[in-house]
Amino acid sequence: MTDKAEIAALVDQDGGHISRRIYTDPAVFESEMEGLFRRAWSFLAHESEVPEPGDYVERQLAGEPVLVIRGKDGVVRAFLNSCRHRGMRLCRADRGNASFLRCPYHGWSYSSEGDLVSVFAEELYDADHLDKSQLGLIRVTQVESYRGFIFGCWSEETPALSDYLGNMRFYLDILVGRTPGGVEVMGPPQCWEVHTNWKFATDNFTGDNFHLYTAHGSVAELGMLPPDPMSLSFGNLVQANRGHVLHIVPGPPIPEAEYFGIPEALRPMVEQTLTPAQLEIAKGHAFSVGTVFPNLSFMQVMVQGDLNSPPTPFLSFRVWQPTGPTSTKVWSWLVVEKEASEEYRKATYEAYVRTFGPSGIFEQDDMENWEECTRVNRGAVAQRYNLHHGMALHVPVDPDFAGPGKAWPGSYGERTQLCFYGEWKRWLTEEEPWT
Amino acid sequence: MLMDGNGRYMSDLPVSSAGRAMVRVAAFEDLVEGKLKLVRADHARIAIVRTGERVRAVSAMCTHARILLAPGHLTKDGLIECPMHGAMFSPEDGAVRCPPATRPLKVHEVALHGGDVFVDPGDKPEAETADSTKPGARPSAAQWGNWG
Repeated sequence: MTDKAEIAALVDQDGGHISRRIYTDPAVFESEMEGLFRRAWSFLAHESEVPEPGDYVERQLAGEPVLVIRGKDGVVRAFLNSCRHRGMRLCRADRGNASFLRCPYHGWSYSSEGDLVSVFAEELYDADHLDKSQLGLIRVTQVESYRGFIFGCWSEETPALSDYLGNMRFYLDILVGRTPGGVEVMGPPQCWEVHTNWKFATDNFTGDNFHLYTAHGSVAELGMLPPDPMSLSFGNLVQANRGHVLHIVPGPPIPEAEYFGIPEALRPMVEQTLTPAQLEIAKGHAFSVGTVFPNLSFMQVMVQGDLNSPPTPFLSFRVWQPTGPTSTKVWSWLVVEKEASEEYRKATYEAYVRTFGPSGIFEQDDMENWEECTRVNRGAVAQRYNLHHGMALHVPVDPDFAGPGKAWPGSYGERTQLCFYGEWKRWLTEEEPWT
Repeated sequence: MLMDGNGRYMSDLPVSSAGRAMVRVAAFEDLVEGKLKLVRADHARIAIVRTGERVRAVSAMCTHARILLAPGHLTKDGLIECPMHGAMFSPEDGAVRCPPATRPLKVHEVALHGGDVFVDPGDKPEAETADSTKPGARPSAAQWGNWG
């Protein structure tokens, strides 16, 4: 599909209608890869995943394998994971430490800074046919880090990461910049495949709170969600800017649920680190779920790991990497403040794995819904009828909200989804969607 | 003398056993046997059922997942069935006849007067749920159960 008018018609942002084709159509997927994923900034890795020289992880950027590696000079770089000789995938482990990157096919070897160091039977090449200085690994066009979160981008025209994130930095700081040390990953990410379109995941993670009592009905009936299905409808839906969206939701009116429920020991650090406006938001809320456009989502939530456990917070980031129109690879990281105690690390880890990730009771419910939606939305008859995104669109913006961007009161609604799809449409149809 | 919207003197209107003014919600002749009718009476959303010459009224919000019951529908046994999870209630006394609901629907007093159906809206609930779409609205501790 190259007809931009046809793509534009798939998303009716004002009317709240979305075509089912955006979740299944191979032509839309190709347009997405070209217009969005090869141009936008995508999250690759956190700096704490590669602390030592030679540490690397393999990730995907627009569906292509990318190595994120810390050089001997301490600089983290990102390269296409492909030898310049025959294109072989250089690193075949998803993480490790390497002094050199050696190609398994003919043995071309690269330094951790990406330079071609040696070539097998090098004496059989003459200088006209082997200039090693021109055959280093292919660099990801732009690589930048925000608070330890490393992003990559295949386009040199896309604005710098800080401009791209815009107001979203204010909200990210509340989550990952609220203590002097910031956050670090707790171990490697969980990684799994889901037979769904990646936008079903982001749609859910733009701050869909109103699926909780149906999709996760068993959890609610066991008493692991509060009894009133409207208890989680408070707070705000927020468009930080463009397609970067989130919700922030208050918990019960008790001190334990302030500051997203993080331990007492960390709270004085938060009070000294955040700005007054950020502090007001952090103090008043227990939950925040959102998405850095297009496919990095976060969840700062309090959950009961089991029936007898007190609500315990965790903060997870996840990348929804499209691998096809109806398949998505998920990476999910648990992160924690660098200053966190061992006791809290254990508690937050347990709360996370019991409820989210491939084993989590919530994640299982979500994936079943996303996969089934995707299967049904493939149907030619089904595709004659648009999907509905119309909840709470009449609610006006709250002019007194403490943070930047637009905030609509109430967290049950479909405003943030529509902001996301509006931005998605812009990247697929505009020459310079960032302007 | 105050008059209601139909030109009747307020003093003519029925009063509930609790001493509250009852609210006209329907004409009796508009009620169809075997059909659930949903009405509003002041703050309350009420489901009414006609059986012969008798009319019963219960809360129209399912006690399980806080879902508005479906207008029109009664089971073949004359029970109220929640459209969301299938909980069933007796229209006679609001009692639960089928899970997952565990708490009965609240019963509202009914009076038939001059061909009209009046119901007692009942007290406003003490911990009334705040409107979460109002700026600055906060949930109450009661909404959170043992979380709060």
